[in-house]
Amino acid sequence: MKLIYIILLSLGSFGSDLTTVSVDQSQKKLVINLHGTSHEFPIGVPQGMSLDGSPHLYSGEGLHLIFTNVEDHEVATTLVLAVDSKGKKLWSFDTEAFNNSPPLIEKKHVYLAGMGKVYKLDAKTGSLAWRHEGLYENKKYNFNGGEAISRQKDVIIFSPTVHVKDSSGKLLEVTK
Amino acid sequence: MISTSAALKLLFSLCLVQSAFAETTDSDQMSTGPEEGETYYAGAAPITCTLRAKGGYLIREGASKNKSKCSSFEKGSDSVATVVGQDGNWIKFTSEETKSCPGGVGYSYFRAFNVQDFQRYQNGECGRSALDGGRTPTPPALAESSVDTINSRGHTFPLDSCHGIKNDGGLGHYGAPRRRGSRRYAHTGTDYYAPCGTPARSPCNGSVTSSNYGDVAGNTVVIKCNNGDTFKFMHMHARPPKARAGATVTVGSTIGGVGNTGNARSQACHLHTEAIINGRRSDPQSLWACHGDSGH
Repeated sequence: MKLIYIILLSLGSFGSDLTTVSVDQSQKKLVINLHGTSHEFPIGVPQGMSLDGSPHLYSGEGLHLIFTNVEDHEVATTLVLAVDSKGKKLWSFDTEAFNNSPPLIEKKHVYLAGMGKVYKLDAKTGSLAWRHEGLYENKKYNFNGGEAISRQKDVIIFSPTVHVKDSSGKLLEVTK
Repeated sequence: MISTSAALKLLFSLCLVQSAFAETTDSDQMSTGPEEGETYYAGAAPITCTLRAKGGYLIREGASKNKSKCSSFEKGSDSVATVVGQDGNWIKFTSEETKSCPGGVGYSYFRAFNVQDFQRYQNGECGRSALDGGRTPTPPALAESSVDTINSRGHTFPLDSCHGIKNDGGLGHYGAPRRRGSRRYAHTGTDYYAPCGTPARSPCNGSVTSSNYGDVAGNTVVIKCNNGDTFKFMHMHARPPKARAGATVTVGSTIGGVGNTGNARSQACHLHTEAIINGRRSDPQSLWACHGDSGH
């Protein structure tokens, strides 16, 4: 049975244009509607895994980021699909985490975080600039994802406990 | 803190006021207990009881959970204690032994294994007549050290005692990296280790929304609490029988047995526990702090 879940989400920088995203679980693909035109993106879902039916869409700087979970009954990861304003796929990224924060989207880079992992990616190519992992699962820090990501000059703040110097990727403050 | 094996054996059968309470196990007395969810506590008048570690109740030493030398109750022995409160199925008490625990605040907890036992207990001299010495809609605040068994949302730990988490690289922890083929994922729950067949219990009052078997999860029971929170328990054995979908459960109800079904066949028995709090996956260890390592 085909299950379609529609989520109406942010309009971002697209003015009054309605942007929607949905998951076709039977076909294992994401469907994004931009300016009245649907764009479909097959998602590679391994045997035994399933696509979560509630994707999240974040938009900014002419970029749409679609978050969707791939999971079985005891593990999960969030895949991020980047689409430009014309509906063209730019890149995808596997966060290897869940409970992802809403991303920080800037002109040149995007910042992602979830379950003790934080990433800086090139906004156009998705290439990784820097990453930190194990900030939660090693039980060193109380960083479970979900917190808002913000910038203060050259410091990216992933949570009250995780601060990273943007230019070098150096961890500046990581507290329990 | 009482050892794991000792904790399982610390059972209470009755509570006496000046040794006047004979064992009361009659079913007719069980039926006259308080309504589930009612709150009783001792009020201003402390009640002195003799607790006998014999059968029926399990001690939880809340205030001294990290103090290994604070276990003062052994199976078959009596100990004088003062019941000072109640929270759900848990009875809060003090005793000379717990007061002397280093760093302890003098409170401990024990609870009925199930509602029937609890109601039976309520009919004892140290039960209803003692505990309802002062009724209040607001139960006494729990000692901070009791968070290992009851969390702030009122959910009780799903096992009768904490058996630890597998610690071979942290694979049993929430968020731990797991592989499926070449891909990396994060573990969505916490694996609590316990002997195969150990009863798994409902952490809340609610209903069973799903009860099935899957190749990965094995025997699985999903409970939706009355407050909207959801718990998933996986890899359970067939014994005790798992709760059926649609069933109503109360705190402490047996919902299945710890096992290693599904893709856990090669592992030691454990209870994969997931918590969805306010609609979001949450770390079970943030709800109940089960310390230590199972050694598996």
